[in-house]
Amino acid sequence: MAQKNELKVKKYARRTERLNRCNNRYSCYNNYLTEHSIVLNEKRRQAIAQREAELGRKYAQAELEANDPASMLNRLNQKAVEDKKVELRLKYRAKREKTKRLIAKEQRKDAAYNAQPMLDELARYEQSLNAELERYADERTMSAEAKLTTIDQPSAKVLYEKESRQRAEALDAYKNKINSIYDRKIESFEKKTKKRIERWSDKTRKAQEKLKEVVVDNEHLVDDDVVLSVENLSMHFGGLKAVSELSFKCHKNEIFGLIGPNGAGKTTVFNCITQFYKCTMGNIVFRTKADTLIHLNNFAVHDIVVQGIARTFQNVEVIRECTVMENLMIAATRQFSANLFEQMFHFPILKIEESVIRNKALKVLQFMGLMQYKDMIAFGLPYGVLKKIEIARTLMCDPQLIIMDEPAAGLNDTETAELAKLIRKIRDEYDCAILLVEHDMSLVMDICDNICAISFGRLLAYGTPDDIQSNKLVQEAYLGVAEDEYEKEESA
Amino acid sequence: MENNFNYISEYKNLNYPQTIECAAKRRVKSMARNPMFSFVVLALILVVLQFLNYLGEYYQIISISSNALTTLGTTVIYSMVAIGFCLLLGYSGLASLGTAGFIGVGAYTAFFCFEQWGMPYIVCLLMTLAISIILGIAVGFVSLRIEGIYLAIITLGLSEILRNALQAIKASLSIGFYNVHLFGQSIPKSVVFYLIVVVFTVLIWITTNLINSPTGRAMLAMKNSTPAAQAYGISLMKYRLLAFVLSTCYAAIGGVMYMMYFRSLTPSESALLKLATSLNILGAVIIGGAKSIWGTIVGVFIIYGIDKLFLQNIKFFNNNPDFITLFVGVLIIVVVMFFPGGLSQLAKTAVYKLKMSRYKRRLRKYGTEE
Repeated sequence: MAQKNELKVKKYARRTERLNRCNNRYSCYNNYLTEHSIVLNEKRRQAIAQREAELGRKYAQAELEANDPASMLNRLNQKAVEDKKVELRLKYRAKREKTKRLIAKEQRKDAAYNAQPMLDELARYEQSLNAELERYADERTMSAEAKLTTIDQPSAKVLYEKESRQRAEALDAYKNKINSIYDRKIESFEKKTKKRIERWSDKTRKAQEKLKEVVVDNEHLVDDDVVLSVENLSMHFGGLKAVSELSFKCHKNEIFGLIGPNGAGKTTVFNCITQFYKCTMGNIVFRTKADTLIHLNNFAVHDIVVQGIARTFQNVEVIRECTVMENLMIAATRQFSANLFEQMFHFPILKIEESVIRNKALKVLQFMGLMQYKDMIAFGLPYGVLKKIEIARTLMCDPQLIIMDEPAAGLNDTETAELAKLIRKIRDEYDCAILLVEHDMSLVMDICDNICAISFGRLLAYGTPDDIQSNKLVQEAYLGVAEDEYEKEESA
Repeated sequence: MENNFNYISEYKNLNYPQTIECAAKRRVKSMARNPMFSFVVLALILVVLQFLNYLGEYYQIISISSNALTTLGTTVIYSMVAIGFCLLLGYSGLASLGTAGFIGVGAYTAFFCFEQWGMPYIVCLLMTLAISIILGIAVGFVSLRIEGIYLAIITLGLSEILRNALQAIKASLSIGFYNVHLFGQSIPKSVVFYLIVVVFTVLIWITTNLINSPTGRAMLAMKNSTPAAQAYGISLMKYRLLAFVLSTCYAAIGGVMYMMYFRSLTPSESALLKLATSLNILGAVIIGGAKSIWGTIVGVFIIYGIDKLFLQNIKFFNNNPDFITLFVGVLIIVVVMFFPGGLSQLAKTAVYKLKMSRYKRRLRKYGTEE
């Protein structure tokens, strides 16, 4: 019987894997359909806008000057005067250098040489040059005024209008070309993607049906709003009873705290839930997003995340060689449906999936306020940021339950207050339950809906924060027994 | 007075300034940004060198010495092996000293396929892949329980077992000139060189693809933190087996290519199947930088190519050949001491510093960033 059940469980796991793969690819194509058409439309808009801006810059001045020849003449005159000025300056500089050289030469011969006449001559030369420049500018304006009467303004206007008509036509043609290209692109892309979506939705349906054939029997039925139910959990390491006979329930959309003094076995409970340790006794029942109950003990460590449980670690386990972005994408490894062969030869599906998951990661980064660290290597980032990356990673897995192992350890008071806000925000936005171990009592009492206190692996108390605070057993476990009471107990 | 401006020409000047966008330039730039571009260029250079050698042999136009080409061929063959090892050490964090044994498996398979059974090249390659996949899975299972230096010791033992077993099967191998077939025709050494370059490029392509895909990232995750990897759905068994299978396949393909290129092998005399090869490949990967393909290629070149291509031409090294080993050894020590990330790290730092200095110069010249 047990063997049969085990076989069934294995079959169940295999078929969930299959369903998961189909589902991933289906949702990936769906996301791609919306995201990529937005991208294509944006590209088209940009291409047209760029060309328009380019032409607009060129023609703005032309339009102005075709209507007003005086402005063009003015511009040309100014340019000519500037050129002349530069030319004259050059002439003056040459003369000045020459004069300086001459003066130096004379002074070498005779120290008392009077250089004043030469300098006077230089000043006179500069004045003459200035006068020449003025005369030139006057001549330009005079001739321009004369020219204005002779300019054939109507013909210039006609020319300009003809040009502008041609330009508008060219722009229209360009627009048509771009539009037709992108229309064709979008059409073919949508057709292809829709066909794929149909195919994969069929496959998903079939996988679901097959999965329904193998339903793991649920002896341990729990209430509808319970996400995680731990029943009589015991974990023994040899003779050491780290956890014994612990049971608690975590409800939907609840922030659940697990507290206890050091060595009480909190992290062991977490490791048992996420199957890092296989528990000695007891049941752990979990409700997946698809609303089926599963026994977590039947799953391997690396399959837990697929069922919807994501966890963080007490000592941050960020992949330090990768960038923050890659860290988030590592968390979504199981959401890639491309197999090894498709990855080896970079099939289009892999690119599609990468883009979809990258966008998802970007959203999570935006939510966590980590956008500025996006492309940084995780090695050497501040501790608070690493903690945030850990939480961001859990959000990548669409979790039903997030398990946080001491999220506030090593953070200062303001950071802890921020963290409390963040945890509530995650609960509301991502619609998931949160299970946390914490030593910071103010944080726990602030955010938790229900608290379970344990000591030496045994349940001390279970209830709302107020209950726990007033519970005598908990006070004793944390603060110790008063000496007189202890003596009384001993005598009794 | 020169008042000779022309209204129409001025107007046209204004409308058609020279802003021609060069589409071809943009295309070339985007192509150069592709990570495979540099490797394809390398392959083309190798092919051209071999072609020049061919021209030199038959028409006496230009001479590239055959010895130099043989050295290059050896470097390329060992690079294939080293890239597989790079996936294992740099990406999965598994140290193995069994590379020599895997090369031997490839070499022996090639011998039996070509000489004994007269199979074509493709069938030989497929058979090698099949055998090395089985072998890789077997070794991978060992690696599930053992890590670090102990894994290296165990793989070293496995390699020695393989070498002795292979030696017992046949003491010396040699393939006849007409027995290597490609598309039904027997091919000489020069054509084998082209084949080696092609296989090398394909292997690099596969490796870069894998590195930039979820598999590569999963391997990195496994190397850096096993609990995080497991918690996010990365099965240690799957990826460790995969890493071992890949590195075994690469090594075996290297062995096949070695056999095709040199046509003869005596395991008791040559160093190919001995510990020295495993250590050399390890040294090459560490010199180059375990996470960079270019670094690995350069590392292999330093260990296998540099002495024959350059150092032997220097009189001192030519008179005292032992000093070549000494030189390479000192180089390894220097690299490991001052650049733990290998030559690739050195190159990255240099590029970064160049960029920073250029940026600072600009800042000095133009003021603020605008």
